Amino acid sequence: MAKILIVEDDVNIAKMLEATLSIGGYDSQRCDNGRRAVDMVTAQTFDLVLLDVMLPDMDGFQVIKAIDKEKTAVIFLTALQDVMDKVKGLKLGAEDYIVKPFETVELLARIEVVLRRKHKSTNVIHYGDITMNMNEHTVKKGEDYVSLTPKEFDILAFFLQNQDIALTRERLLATVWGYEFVGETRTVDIHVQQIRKKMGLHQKLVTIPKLGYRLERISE
Amino acid sequence: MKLWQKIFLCSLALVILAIDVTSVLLLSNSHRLTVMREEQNAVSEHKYLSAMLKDNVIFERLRQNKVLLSPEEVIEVTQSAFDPQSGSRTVGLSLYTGQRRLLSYNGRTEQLEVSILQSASQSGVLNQVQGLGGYALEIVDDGSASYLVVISQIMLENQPYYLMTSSDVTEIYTLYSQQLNYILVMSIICATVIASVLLVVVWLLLLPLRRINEGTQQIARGNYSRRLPETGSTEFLQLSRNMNEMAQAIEQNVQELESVAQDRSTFIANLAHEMKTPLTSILGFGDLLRIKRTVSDKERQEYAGIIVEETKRLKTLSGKLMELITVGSTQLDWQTLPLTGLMEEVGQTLQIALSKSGVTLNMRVCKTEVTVDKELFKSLIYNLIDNAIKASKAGQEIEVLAEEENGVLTISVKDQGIGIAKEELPKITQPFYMIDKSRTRKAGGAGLGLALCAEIAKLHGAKLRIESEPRKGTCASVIFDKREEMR
Repeated sequence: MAKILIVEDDVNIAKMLEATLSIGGYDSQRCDNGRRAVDMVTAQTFDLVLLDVMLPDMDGFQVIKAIDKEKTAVIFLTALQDVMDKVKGLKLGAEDYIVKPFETVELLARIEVVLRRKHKSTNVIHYGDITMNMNEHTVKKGEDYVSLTPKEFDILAFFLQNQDIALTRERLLATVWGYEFVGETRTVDIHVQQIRKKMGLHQKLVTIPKLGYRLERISE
Repeated sequence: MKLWQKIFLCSLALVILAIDVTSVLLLSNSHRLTVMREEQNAVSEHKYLSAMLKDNVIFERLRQNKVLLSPEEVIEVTQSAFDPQSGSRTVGLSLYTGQRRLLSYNGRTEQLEVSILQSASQSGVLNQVQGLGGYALEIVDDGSASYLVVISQIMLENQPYYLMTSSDVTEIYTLYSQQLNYILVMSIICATVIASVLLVVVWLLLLPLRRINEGTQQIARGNYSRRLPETGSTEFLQLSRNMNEMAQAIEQNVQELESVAQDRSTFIANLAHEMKTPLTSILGFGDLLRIKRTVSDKERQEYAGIIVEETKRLKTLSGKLMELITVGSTQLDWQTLPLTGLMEEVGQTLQIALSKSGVTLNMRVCKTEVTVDKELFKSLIYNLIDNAIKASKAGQEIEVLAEEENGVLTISVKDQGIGIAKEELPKITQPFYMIDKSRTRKAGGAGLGLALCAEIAKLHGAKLRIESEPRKGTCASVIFDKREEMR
């Protein structure tokens, strides 16, 4: 399980991040001060730091300089929307730069990407008798390979990475087809039908009225 | 045409004209004098000749003892008198009767003499010379030489004759034209020398102008800190000084505009930050409530609680923001009201906040009247007392004091709270400036209160003064100078 440090001086946002990370299945700790954050990162090993820019004592740009980016990935989380700040953050070695406010699932998706890039995330996902290998781009049900279209593969991967979370059709469209895609949410429904049929997920991949879909976690 | 070219050409033309006119005038005057002297010489010689002719005729008549000599004898007599006159300029001597030439000493001028005689008789000059002592002067030019011709009528033996003497004055005219040529050459040389000197002088004189030009160009291109060197003659000095004053005014204005723009962009950046922080929590917790499969009662209460709290924060922010915007743009409603009433109204509205925090409020207000916008003034006092409450702990006191002295009304709000560090004091009236963000937010503030107070005080022509000592307390005073208001 990846360990994530939340550096955020607004208590409510910190609480929100903690709750979000917990549903994503991450282990997280909170810190509301730049200097203490540096101490914590040097004392313990974190896989990822969610770093606010405006912090008491030391701002985020100073904090990131003190962090060993080889060991710990950094995502900036800030209300500053200036492009120059974004460039500065990324140049200092941040993996991503997320502007507040953001949607929960978007944050989780970005964290997932960063951790996978850092090889901290699992590349093989197991779900019941389904085995999904992200590197080989293959899906097995039991011992048999199932053939999925690229879009179906991406949708299934997104569901598996966000178990027990309701995913809206818009979110699925944005993640799998990209923000530029201009299409109907019906497209999503058709693909979900196909996945249910091919993977036998009629019971677990449930439709939530007026919202979207949710893949329920299998309790061990 | 450029200024230096104009100055150069004008002065060059004027100088050369002056030199040429003067020398030509001098020359022609001296020439005129020379000609006059020559004429006088010629006339006196002519008179001497005519007198000699008459004498000779009389002498001959007496010698022959005749009553009258015949014309032939007269000619004979005169011929003998026509000896070359050495040392005189007279080159021709002739005697005519009517158009007929009787005697000639020099053949050179014969042709000329005939034409002179003709033109003289035509123009009536000959009639003028009739009578004793009259004579006519004529200067003629045959192309190669100039002659001064004198004609007069003499009576010899009761017969009228015309005596014509001519002298060579070529030299005078040659000299004159030589001197004219000399002047021409000299004026060309002078022009060249003067031109080169003028060029240098004009260039040197206009050097400061060029420097000013260069400097103003730089200023115009946006280098507002550039100043012109204040050198050169008085006019340029004045010009540079004025230009510098203008540049300084521009620089000041630009700086002011820049700082206004800077303030505005800081304000907007801060505003965006202040709005996004609660929005992030609201969106995040709202999203969690929406997408989570199971939400426990405890979680639901916590999430919803935070959403409500953050929404309230946004509400406060937007309210204060609206106030701040309206303060700057609305028409003020001036009223003259008793101060005690106003202060009591504010005290009433603060009752709940006071009892909640356990802080006591002591008000001592002198009896006076103030001319203010009622709502804004109340908002000002409210904010100051509200700040004091937020800075105080339960059991502490807040003292509100209003006193008037020599027309200066001071309303001060004094608490015994946490105080403000010295280095923070200049910044506290900036919008969104919060010394302790988490404290401010817990107290429901947006960091706009003092900015609003400062704005209201400014509109009322009052001063906002804040003195503080950490852990001892803060004293915020609003100072109304009523004497100034009267004016």
